[in-house]
Amino acid sequence: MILLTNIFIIIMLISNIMMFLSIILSKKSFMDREKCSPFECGFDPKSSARIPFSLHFFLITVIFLIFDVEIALIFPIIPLYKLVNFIFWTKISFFFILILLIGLYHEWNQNMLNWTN
Amino acid sequence: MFMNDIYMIFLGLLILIIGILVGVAYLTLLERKVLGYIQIRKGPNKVGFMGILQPFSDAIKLFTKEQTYPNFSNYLSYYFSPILSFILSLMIWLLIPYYFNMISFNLGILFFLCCTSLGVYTVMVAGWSSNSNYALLGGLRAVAQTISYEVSLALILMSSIIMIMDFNLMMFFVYQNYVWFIILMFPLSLCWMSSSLAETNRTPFDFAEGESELVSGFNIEYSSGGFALIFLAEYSSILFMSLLFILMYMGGFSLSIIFYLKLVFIFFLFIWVRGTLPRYRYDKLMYLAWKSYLPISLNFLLFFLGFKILLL
Amino acid sequence: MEACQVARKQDLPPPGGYKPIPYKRVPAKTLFSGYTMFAGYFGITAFAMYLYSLNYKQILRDQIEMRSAKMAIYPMLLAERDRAYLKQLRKNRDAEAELMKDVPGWEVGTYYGEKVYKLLPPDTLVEPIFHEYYAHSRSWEWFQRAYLKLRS
Repeated sequence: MILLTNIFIIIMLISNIMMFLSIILSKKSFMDREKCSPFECGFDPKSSARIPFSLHFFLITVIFLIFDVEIALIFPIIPLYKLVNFIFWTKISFFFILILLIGLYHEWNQNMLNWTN
Repeated sequence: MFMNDIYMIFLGLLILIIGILVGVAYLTLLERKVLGYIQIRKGPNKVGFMGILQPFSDAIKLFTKEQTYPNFSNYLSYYFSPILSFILSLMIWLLIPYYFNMISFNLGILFFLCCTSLGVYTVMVAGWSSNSNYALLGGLRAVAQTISYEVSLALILMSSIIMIMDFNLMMFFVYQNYVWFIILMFPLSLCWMSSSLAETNRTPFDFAEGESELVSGFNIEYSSGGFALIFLAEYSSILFMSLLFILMYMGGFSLSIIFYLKLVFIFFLFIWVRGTLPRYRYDKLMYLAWKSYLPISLNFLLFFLGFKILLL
Repeated sequence: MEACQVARKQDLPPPGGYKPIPYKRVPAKTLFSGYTMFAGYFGITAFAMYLYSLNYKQILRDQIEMRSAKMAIYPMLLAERDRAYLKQLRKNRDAEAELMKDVPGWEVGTYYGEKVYKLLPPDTLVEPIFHEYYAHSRSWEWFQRAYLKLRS
């Protein structure tokens, strides 16, 4: 773990140095008003960029959260097969995946996965 | 002695990082050449000898361009998100199964999933903090797309983990002595291929940087070093995805030269897809993830679990 | 005016007009029908499963062999570990005798002839604590054990 931390620090240093180097080396011009404004095909930006976004993205994220928790619950069955009773392991993993599958079909049936209503 | 091992690990790490950077540079050259020949023109063929030094000239050009300082942007997160994405993609590369002089992860697949899921944040922060409408839209699309494909990616991964019953990436080689998993689970390997295309925002699914709609997507405000780091991070994660494909499905013994030839072939497939296919539609992309890949991977997971239980 | 006198060739269609544009759709050749592909897929998967099961049995045999080899070698490893440990203890005792030979009335392993553990029988092996074990070795060895081996 200490080794991994050290490697992480080295990689962090390398990438920070690369970014810093580009800032030092790069060409500088005067602060141009057009250059510093957000790119909008040559116009001045009309609206603020901090706009509310479509609810679908949020709903997709909620569904992802559910499935990701389920995946996190699936993963332990791999090391577990050496530790627990084999019959129980079989039953548990089968029923867990079946519940996941039925949950997916249920969400499909309830039109949660549709992008447009 | 023990300290020598640590020195050798750091030396190996340095060689690995340099190898990744040079490899990514030459992969961009390969991509430009291949795309050129697909579109019946020559790619870069002037710099150095037949364009061999082209990536280095590109890198020098990128790093000497001006770094913009967008007004009203959240500058700290704008500055640090490319660095973070580069760090993450280099950390993923620690998983490459060296048999000596590198860390051997017992839970390597969990490490891989952690790093790829953290990669979403950098795209999101890069898109949000640069305060541009295009960047915000690109970031939103990238987040929804990457998140949805991550579920199917993890489940496809799960069924090949069930075949080896271990999280260590080196075990894939042991279990593929007789038959490659691409023959055992062909549909799943195709699913994995397109899921990794979508996960790395490659062309048929490149909604995060859709060239014709959002000018450059989430990285529109990035100019010199930041853009270079984002670019390096994306290409090295693509390269890692192809490495994982080779490891999982095509019998990865990472000390042989054939392994790396296969890796370049898979990367060539990525480029080929980019040169051939038009962009998909966004809602169809979501349907593809949630309504085809997820049920298919779950059903195959059940199937292979039953097969493994019969064998155990 | 003279420039206009040069004979020019106007871009015209070739005699007989252009060829018709081939806009008709050319469907890809179907080498296998769907049923054949399904049957082939099932056959190939079944064959691959058979090969996988052979490989899996091989791996199980290898694992059993490795486990029995480990069990066979384990007593020797334990003996080697104990031997190294006792060697270090003897080195500590000799170093202490060498160090304290000028002090009158000092007996090795005791405090001026007074036993450290009074209730233990005289032949008991009292395991030294961590720092005492590395007391007479170089500090590098202690550092290596404490900071590199045990914490990495």
